[in-house]
Amino acid sequence: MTTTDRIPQMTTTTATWGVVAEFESAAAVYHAAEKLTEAGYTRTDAHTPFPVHGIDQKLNHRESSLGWIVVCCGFTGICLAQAMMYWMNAVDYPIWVSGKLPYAWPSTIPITFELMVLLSGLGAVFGMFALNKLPRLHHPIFAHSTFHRVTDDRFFLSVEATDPKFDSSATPQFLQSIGGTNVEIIKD
Amino acid sequence: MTATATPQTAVSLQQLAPQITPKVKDGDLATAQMGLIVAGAALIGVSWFLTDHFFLSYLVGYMGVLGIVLGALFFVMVQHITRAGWSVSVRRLAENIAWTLPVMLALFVPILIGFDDIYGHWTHADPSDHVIAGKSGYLNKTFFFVRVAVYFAIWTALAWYFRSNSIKQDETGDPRASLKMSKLAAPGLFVFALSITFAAFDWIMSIDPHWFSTIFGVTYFAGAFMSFLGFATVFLIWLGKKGYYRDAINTEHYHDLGKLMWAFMVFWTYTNFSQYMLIWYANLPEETSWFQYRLHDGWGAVGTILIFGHFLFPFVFLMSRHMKRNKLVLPIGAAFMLLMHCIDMQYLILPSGLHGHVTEHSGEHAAEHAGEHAHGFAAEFGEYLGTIDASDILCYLGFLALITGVTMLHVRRTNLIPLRDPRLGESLNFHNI
Repeated sequence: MTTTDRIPQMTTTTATWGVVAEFESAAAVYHAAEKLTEAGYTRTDAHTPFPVHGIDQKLNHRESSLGWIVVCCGFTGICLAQAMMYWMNAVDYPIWVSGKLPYAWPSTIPITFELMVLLSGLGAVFGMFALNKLPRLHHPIFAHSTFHRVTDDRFFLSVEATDPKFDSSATPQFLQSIGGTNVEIIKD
Repeated sequence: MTATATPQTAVSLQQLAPQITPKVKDGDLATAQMGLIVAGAALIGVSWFLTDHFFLSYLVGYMGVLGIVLGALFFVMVQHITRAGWSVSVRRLAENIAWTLPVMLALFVPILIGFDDIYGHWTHADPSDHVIAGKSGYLNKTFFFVRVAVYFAIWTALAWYFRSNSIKQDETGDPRASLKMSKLAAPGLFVFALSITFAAFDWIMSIDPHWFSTIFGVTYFAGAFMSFLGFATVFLIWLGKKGYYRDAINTEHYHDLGKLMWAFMVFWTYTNFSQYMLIWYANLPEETSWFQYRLHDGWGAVGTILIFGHFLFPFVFLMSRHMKRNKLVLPIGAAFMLLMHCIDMQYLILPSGLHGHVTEHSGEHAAEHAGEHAHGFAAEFGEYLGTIDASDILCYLGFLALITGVTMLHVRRTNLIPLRDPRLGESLNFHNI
């Protein structure tokens, strides 16, 4: 990678990704989130150094569908384990051991449990990746001048350009009016 | 170190949350309290006339409700040892439930009266039975009664210590009391774990003195803690409807109680299956016969009911957060788990107490009589209904009512929540992600 590779990218992308505003405290970002939602913005997000309780509700974020992904993965694990052991022990190569049936359900429970946990765990991690569109090496929001402080001591609200109510002049003004500083329009 | 160097009194409730009702109004709930105690005593009394195995029924109810009380004691200590913030407003109720232990001690007396009816398999053992003879160093009446005293001494002392210090803190607001209690919670939990394990061995497992399972105490504990969480949930939601606890205990707390109940329901299944699978795998007659007795007289149907009712159904029913955050669904689920806890106690106590116990010849006996029991769930369930008496559920309900009444007595006398616990603010503002 040479520096020249990046030049065309920087000159050709002019579409607006959204607008980002900085806040000083969890309380400030919490109340601003409330006002943002009240004003009718829907494609919004909060970026904070630690979880701010209740801010999801203030931003009207719907519940994550990760739970359903995990349940489906867990159920797949149960079925897979049962099918595997039934096929191995009772169909493909039946062995009678100490008077137990070739397919005896008590002996299948530990493996079934393990496979359920394994697939649930993988489903939770990779489902989270998929829902967050990870892995990705870059995000437009990183272009904001103070966004690096999001892991330290600053709180941010963003409104994406795809929001029906987004307006490249009214939205930044509104964010300023609800207490945001360093309000910047971010290019995609 | 800093906390002991500069003690600061915690903020008062008036500063923190002035809208909270700190106490039950004078005279309020007195009728409910008396009614519950009388109804409880009446139910247990009526049971006497409804069965020919009263003391076994009594033990079913007693062990079921003792589990709730000990679960409360465990809950208090776990919150202290983890220095939990969320549970502070729930903890006072647990302290009050645990403080019914002196009453539970008094209620142990009928078990001593009916001792030979319950534990006859070893108190009147065949002298030639060398397995029981070999255990007589542990399983003899004198040592048994000494152990009863030791268990109750441990539990009562712990329940008294945590409750009285917490109540004292309501006055002083001294945060050092919290530190002191979290320190004692560690050795407290240690002796608690040992005492509840051995109590389960003594009072339930020894009904069948030949049989043994080292995980037995854990299975009892798992069901016990689960049923405490169910009991607390129902109690709190009931009093919430009466206008108490409402501002201090909300959906977030119920959600957590529900999560813990669900988790310990699964833990109960985990330990019970661990016990079952090892016995099934090894296939030794001296161990498997315990389950053989639980296939006769309709107990096979109860095993099925427990798998579905104590695990599969609640596992799915209460898995979703929406179910646990619903103030109608959660107490229904909790009450259902309390019923399952009773059936679990029946399953542990009655087959051994009523009929056979494992003997040296159990293996041969089981082999001879294999296949004699009823087949099909409906037939087995009918047989089960014929085996048990109404007293096997009435005693449990009686104990539940009685202990709810006594808890109510304590609840009316103390503040509803630890008013000046340093972590109360954390609890009032608790929020699940």
